[in-house]
Parts: sequence; C-alpha cells; structure tokens
Amino acid sequence: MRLPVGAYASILHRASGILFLPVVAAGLVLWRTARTSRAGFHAVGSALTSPAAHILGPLAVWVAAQHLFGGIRYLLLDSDIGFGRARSRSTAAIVIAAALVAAGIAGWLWP
Amino acid sequence: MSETRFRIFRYQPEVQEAPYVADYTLPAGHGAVMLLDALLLLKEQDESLSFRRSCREGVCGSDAMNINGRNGLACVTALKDLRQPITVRPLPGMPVIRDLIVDLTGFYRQYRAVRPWLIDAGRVPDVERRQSPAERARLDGLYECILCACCTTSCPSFWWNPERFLGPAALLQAYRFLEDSRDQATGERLDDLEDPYRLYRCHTIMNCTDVCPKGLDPARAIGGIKARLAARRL
Repeated sequence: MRLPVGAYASILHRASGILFLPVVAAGLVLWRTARTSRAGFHAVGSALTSPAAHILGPLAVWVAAQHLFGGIRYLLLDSDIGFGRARSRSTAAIVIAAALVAAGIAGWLWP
Repeated sequence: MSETRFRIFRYQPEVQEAPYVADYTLPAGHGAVMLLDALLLLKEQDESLSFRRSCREGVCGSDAMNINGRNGLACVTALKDLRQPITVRPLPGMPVIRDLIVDLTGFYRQYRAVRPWLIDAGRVPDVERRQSPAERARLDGLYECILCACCTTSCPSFWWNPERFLGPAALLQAYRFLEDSRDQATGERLDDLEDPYRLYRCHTIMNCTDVCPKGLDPARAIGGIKARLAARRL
C-alpha cells in the first residue's frame, strides 16, 4: 500500500503525540531542577549544552512542532478549512516540512 | 509501444495454501491503453486470472483494485501513467475470494446500515417530491458515489474496525441523506451516527479523498456529519 502524504502527516501526528509526553516530563524535570538551587541551575545549563542535548533538543522541538502544526491542521479541518485532494496534500506536506524547519532552526541556534 | 511488465497477486483459497505474485508480460505493440485492457489481454494468456469488470468506463465500480500500491479503477487508469512492473493486488483489508476478487459483504453491510434511501413517513404526494435548485445543489459531490470501495478499503480506521466503523463510503451516503431536503429522518440518522465507532473512528487521515476515482471528498462529508452533531449539541 502506497500511503499519501496526508497519511504520513496523520501517523507523525500520533507518533509525536506519544513522544510529546516524555518531552514534557523531561522539560518539567529540568525546569524544577534549575529552580531548586544555584548548583541545579548550573547542572541544567551544562546538560543543555552537552553533545547529547544538541541531538535531543532539536528532536524535542521537532516533536512539539510536528504535534502543534498537525493539531492546527486538524482544527482547521474541523472548521471545514483545507478539505479536498490537492489542499489536504499540500497542507500535510507543509506541516511535515514546517516541523522539520523548526527542528533545523533549533539545531542551528542551539547553544 | 514497448513490452509492459506486470506483477499480479494470485490466490485461489480452495486449492492454494498461500497467495503468490505472478509475473506477466505483454509484448510490444499490444495496443492496450488502460489497465483493464491489459488485464483482459493477460486473461487471454492465462484464463485462470480472475477479476471483476463490467462497464469499462468508470461508472460501475466493479474493477476497483490496488494498482502500484494505490486503490483505483483499472478501466480509468492509463498504462502510460504507471511505473513498471505494474503491481496489481486486490483491495486491501478484504477477504480474497479469488485473485483480484474480494468479498465486499462487510462493505455493503455498512452501506445498508446507514439506510441509504429517502425516509418520509408522511402521505405519499400526488406529484413528485420537489426540491429547489439550491436544495438539489446540496447533493452535488455526494450522490455520484459508485460504491467501488476504493475509499473504504484504503482507510486504516476501517482496516482496524471493519465491523464497527462504517467507513467513508457509507458515511458519504449517510451525509447525502442528511443533506437531502426531502428526507424526514435527520434526527434518527444523527442518533444512529453518534457513536464512538460508527462515525468517530474517522481520524481525518483522508486516504479516502486521496483515492476516490470520482473525485469525491468523503472526508469532508464526514466532517459535515460531525459538524451537524456538534451543532445539535449546542
């Protein structure tokens, strides 16, 4: 079965929704640690500038962006905006591309 | 025209334990333009090859099949648009009766479940049930469905819940009668549709709209049903 781009957008929306949970959990843990003490703040700072964070950070941004943009697309569809073969294909491609661009920008700007 | 190569799903459940894919070739200059023409020529080579077909012009919907990974009608699919080898399989998610012929009993059961006919318990009128041109125009894009099952069998939600999810073709017809000004059973129809599985298994994946050979938009019709249900709640 050859899936259209809309199907990939749907799969990615669900996959990013699942991945979003640990991303939010990790963000909350980092935030709490950074607020606990001066040492915790510096520990979070060094964690966010580690080599692993240069991969995981943009990945987390991709997860959030993919789910957010995909969700906006579905909200627009629920408002009867974006139906039709050509439109649904192009909006699905835009969502996937925009999430990748967001991740790329995050990777480029990551300290 | 050069030779054309095919890979075709073959299965006879009564005599074969497992399906297989058979290779076929039509020689150069075969003259076939559409995929159905080519399949008919291949059937002359191997008369055991089985598939449904009737009108050969995209009206009956009999020759729906999976062509190079995408559902479509063989009679309106031009060979020149297909990458070779052309892989032909039966519609996905349906029990195979033989080769490219699938059992559509479940599909028709879901179609009947939406009561795809006009319901009017009132007195039979002396003249026809009239509609204004505007009321009639609301049915455009809904009534043209030929029930080929391309949409429903490309829907992942239907693959997972074929017994409970109505599928895009049946839901398109449900919306067609919700939109019909002559129908008197809108409330009952919406009651029947308001169900986590029958309607709300649709996750707006939109494979249905992508494959419809008539260019219809079942996903939008399903959105229309959801909007009517939401409006009724408000």
